[in-house]
Amino acid sequence: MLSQGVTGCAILLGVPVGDQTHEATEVGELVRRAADDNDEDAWSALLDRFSGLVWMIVRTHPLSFHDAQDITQTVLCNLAENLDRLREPHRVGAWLRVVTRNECLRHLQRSTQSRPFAPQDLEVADHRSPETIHLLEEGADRVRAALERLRPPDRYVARLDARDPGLAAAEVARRTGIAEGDVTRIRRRARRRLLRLLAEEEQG
Amino acid sequence: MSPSGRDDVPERAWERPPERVLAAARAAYRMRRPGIRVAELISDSAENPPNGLRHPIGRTAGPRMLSFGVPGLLLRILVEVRGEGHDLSGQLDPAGRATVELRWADLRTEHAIGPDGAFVLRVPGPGPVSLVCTPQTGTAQPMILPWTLL
Repeated sequence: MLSQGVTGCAILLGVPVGDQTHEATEVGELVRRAADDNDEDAWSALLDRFSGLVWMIVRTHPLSFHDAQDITQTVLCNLAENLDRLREPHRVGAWLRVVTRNECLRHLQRSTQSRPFAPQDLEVADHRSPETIHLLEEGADRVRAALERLRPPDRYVARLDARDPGLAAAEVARRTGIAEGDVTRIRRRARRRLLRLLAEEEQG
Repeated sequence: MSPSGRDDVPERAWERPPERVLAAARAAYRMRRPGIRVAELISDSAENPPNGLRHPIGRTAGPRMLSFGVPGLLLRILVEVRGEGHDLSGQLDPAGRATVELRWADLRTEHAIGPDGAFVLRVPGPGPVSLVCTPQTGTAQPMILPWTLL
């Protein structure tokens, strides 16, 4: 086994080291074949490898199942269109993470425009004032912003908990790909880090 | 660790999206147009609330205005909900004869546009859509619109 120092030197020299470098090379080659050779098998292999990542990220946002499908489809279609335009084909996973997250946030921002109400709810008196509504929204925005600063997988778990509090560990594991046995630990860690971020922000 | 990211979720454990999503992604691959410049989204009325509002709550729902462009060619689109799908009213700038290809799910239809550069297209259902605009006059190069959820 290579020591950390040796590994660093080997990477600098461009020597493939370990599974990660090998897989990145393999991914880069799949992108090249799909982009340049019109190789549908290479595209299918990319979908096999990365469609689950996109779906997982989308499903950890507070979106309906139909919206989640549409957003995942949008991201994958744009990947197909941009295969020959990726600057770093071996980093397609990182590209997808950024694009997917942005697409989810854009969709969530848009969906605040049209919130469906049940007709009977329109008859219920609303005792909130514009000020309290605004303060609540600002508080929620602060939590959302702090949540996005968490690192994966904490971010994925915290998003799900914010949307569906008390979701069973097995369901969290199913949606995020985390081992069920790790969910409780990651949940606690994410909560601790989130509270720390909010406290730091409050102290300025 | 996954090959191209920093999280520690094993990538092969992820659940796959529904088959209809994968089928659309395979269709998009077959319809892709390498070599044509991808237009940038210049403005989207759904994302840029009117000035003076501190929070987007309170914006009224209505037709959505999008504009996309590449140097020398701009496309403005008005999007209106029509049943399950949408109506798109487009205007190319500069105006001129063009062909506009509508791509939606696994469908691809081509439309000839007159010298006024205006068109109306119907997108039959939900899901992302993309247009390919090819001017027939002038010096503007073709452009492809990114797949966009309406």
